[in-house]
Amino acid sequence: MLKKLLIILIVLVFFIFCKNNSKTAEQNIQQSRNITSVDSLLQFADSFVGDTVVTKGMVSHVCRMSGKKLFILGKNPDQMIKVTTGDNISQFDIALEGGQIIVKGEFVKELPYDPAVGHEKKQEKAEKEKVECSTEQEALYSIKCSDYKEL
Amino acid sequence: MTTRKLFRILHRDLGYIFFGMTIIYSVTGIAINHINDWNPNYIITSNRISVNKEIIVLSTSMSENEIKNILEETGEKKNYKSYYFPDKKSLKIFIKGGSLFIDLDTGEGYLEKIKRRPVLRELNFLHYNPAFAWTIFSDIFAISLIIISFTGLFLIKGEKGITGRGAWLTATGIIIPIIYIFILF
Repeated sequence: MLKKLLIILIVLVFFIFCKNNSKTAEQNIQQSRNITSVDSLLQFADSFVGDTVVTKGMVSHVCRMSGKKLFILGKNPDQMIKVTTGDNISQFDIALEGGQIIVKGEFVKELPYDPAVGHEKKQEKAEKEKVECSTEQEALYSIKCSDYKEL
Repeated sequence: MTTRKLFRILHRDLGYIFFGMTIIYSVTGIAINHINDWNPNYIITSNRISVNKEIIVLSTSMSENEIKNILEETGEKKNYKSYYFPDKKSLKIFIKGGSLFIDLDTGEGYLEKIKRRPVLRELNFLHYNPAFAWTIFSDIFAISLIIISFTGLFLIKGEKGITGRGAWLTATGIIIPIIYIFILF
């Protein structure tokens, strides 16, 4: 009786897992045909804020500690977007560094840049969150990633 | 069946079922508690390197072949992935399992090698809630922990039970976090 119950439980867990993962990240990305470049996103950044965007770029850095954020570059390394893990992404693999990825997610404006205090506000926030990244202060926009695909 | 017997069965069987989960969350909890002191996911080593500037001219106009020549000096040519110039004075080269950072003015830099920490990285992956299905299972685990804790209070009768020694120990375990709240919150 107990063995049967445990087998049913394991099958149930497997079923729930499969149901929730039937639509893979790859399929989700492929459905989004319009890929906006990092440079275009940043050129018209404010008009994209709040929208779901799909973009492609080279991963310049993955957060060593939490793995919960990475940075992608446009053609010009000054053009940088922070990508944070969404609800269904646990961590980004550090092996993504140096490779190209397609990212889908909500485009978000980071803390406003205050010329009077420079980027101190961002550094203050990073210290509070105890997640320091060398590139943290350079990204003014981020994407809350719902799906991504390594190319 | 008496309530005490029901509690005993629940405590025992849930304890068995969720033994693995308790270990996973405890081990990764310790790992993440000390995240400022060490990296629970990766073993990262960093070594100083120096590019021979007499052989390789460093500049932001370097080609991919020239970049690979730098890697040849460090024995990493076969691992080449990509590169970019973070600014006019530096170069970052990505290789499989790490990266190189080079100061274009001095030719000095460092080679960072990254190795996945076995087991712990996979366990941390689970701790960070990777999927909705895992959220459901870990919620069931959390509810079960409440049941295990509650039923545990009533396993033993007498002076070592919840009316005697057990009461003091339980109170201690409740008072300590309350003191922390008063001090830190």
